[in-house]
Amino acid sequence: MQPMWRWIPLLATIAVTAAAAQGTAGPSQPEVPAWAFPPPQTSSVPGSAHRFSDTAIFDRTRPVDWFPDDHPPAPDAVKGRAQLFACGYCHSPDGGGRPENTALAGLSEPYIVRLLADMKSGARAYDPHFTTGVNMVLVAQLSSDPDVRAAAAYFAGLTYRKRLSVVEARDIPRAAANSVYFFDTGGAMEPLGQRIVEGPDDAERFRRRDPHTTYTAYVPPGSVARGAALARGTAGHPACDTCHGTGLRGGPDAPPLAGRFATAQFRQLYDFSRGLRSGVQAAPMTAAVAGLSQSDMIALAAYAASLEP
Amino acid sequence: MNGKALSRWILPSLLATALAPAMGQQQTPAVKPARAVASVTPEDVPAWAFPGPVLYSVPGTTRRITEVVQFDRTRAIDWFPDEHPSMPDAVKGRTPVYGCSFCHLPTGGGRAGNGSLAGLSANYIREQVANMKSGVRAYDSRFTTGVNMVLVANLSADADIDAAANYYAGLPYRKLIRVVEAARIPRVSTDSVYLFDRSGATEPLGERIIEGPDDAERFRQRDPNITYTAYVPVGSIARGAALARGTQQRPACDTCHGPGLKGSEIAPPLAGRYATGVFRQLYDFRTGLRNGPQAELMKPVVAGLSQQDMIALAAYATSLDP
Repeated sequence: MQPMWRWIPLLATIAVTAAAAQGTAGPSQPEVPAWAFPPPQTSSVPGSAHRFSDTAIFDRTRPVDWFPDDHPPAPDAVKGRAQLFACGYCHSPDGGGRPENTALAGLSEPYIVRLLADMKSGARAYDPHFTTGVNMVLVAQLSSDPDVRAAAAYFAGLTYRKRLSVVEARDIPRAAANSVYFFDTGGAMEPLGQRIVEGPDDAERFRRRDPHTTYTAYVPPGSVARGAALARGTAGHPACDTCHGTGLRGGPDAPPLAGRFATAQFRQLYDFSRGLRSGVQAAPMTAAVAGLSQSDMIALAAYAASLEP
Repeated sequence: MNGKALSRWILPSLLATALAPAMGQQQTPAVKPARAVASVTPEDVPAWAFPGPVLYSVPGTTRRITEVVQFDRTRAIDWFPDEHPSMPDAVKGRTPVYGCSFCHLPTGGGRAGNGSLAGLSANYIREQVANMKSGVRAYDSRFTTGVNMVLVANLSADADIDAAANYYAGLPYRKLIRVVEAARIPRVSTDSVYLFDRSGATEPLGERIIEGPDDAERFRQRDPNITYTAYVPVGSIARGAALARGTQQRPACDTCHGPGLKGSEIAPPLAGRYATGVFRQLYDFRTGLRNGPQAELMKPVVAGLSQQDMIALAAYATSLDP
């Protein structure tokens, strides 16, 4: 249902139009048959005054900006421009990102620039079945250097806000894949096993690309403590905070990990182990992940995601 | 991990081939081939960490697309490429201009919220788009469909308009709408057309035409083969037929629109086309939003018509076979 106020300017316009047409179309103007002009369905998200149609919500070249006051004015590459998918479509105008991609807010500018260059050169690759990554490589290849620099500076200047809870559980709400996981709200459950299952707490708000959506990452029981222990390092593995800084909040040459999406972190560890990431900075990580089992990587990702940024 | 997920890992190159069209990337430069990666056995692959997007389809095709692709106005979905000639670029869509076929569909059947273009004359289509550019044909500002069409017209090159007009003029119009006279109808909600409640809830029709797809989900997927229903007030069709015969002051509709309202050289076909589409034209002539030489012929015709008359005429025209 449309809120009534939305019709006021529209009806006013019609009244004016009808009045203007009086002279040509005769004295007895018919009343406005609003039923003949059904408006598109629009939706909103809590806290936003905007309403958008699904067509607008899914326009990759012009992402909806539910909360323009939450962030500084975004450069073109972030807002989108014809022929180029906008950074802000997937990574959100506030840089918070979504679990199927990654949060960019608060990463360093050189790090973002370097990763984009690696995607262009092929040094940063993705498994071909991972559509999110494949699309990102396409965008990287289509993006000009000034656009990349502007976007990197923009996202580097934003503060990362953690909207993720890490929950250890043996059984989780039944999950359906849709680039992330959507949780069944009817009470149906499934065993978690050795996985991280991460998704929005409100699937509809996620679908509308509400940047205020909160997320839950379900991880196997004991993962966080086990990850903390692994993160301290061993003889063969330097401690994570050696490069990623105290509390894994980021170092001079390594990105912050604290409180970021758990599946995204797992995918990085896994991609290092498979040699999909081979840029300059990848060498220390490729060494660090050698010998890690998937359950180790799950634990490390769970631990890092559980920290405060 | 299910077998399907495994096969996607085992045959990544097959998937890569399938992926580009599935993601709507036909127009982007070739992606650099993925580098060789450390070999892994399928058991090792954590498919759970790479959940795929939900894909949608419609009956009669094996194509499956994501919701994102479904709403890409610059690269319209073509579920059944074998059911029509190959489309010119303007019809398919090309950034930054929306493709004609996003709204009017590759078949030209349209979607009730807009007009069906199949079988209109190329001249008529060209003239309407030119009128939109010049402002001679306008829309109520709240009618987003029309407002968007004016934007597209203003962004379109003449050569593109020509190509699109010739394409749609060459397609046969297939009637997928039925007109039903009713006092009460399924409860409706709006989404540029009307979507019918299927739970049994009803509402009075009153003096309206309520037109929408019989299958809301297939409508959402832009399936060109879906059927529509236009609910019209009881007695509308017969009343419309009588009105269409004209009076001493008003020429009969078929004077210009041809026998059976199937169109003529000077006026478009009306038979079996969307009822709200026909009504909106009558109303827009009445309010002076449609102008131009041809519109001047329609203005005196609609001058004395009530909304009820326009509903009846639209109901009658739509009830005919094209």
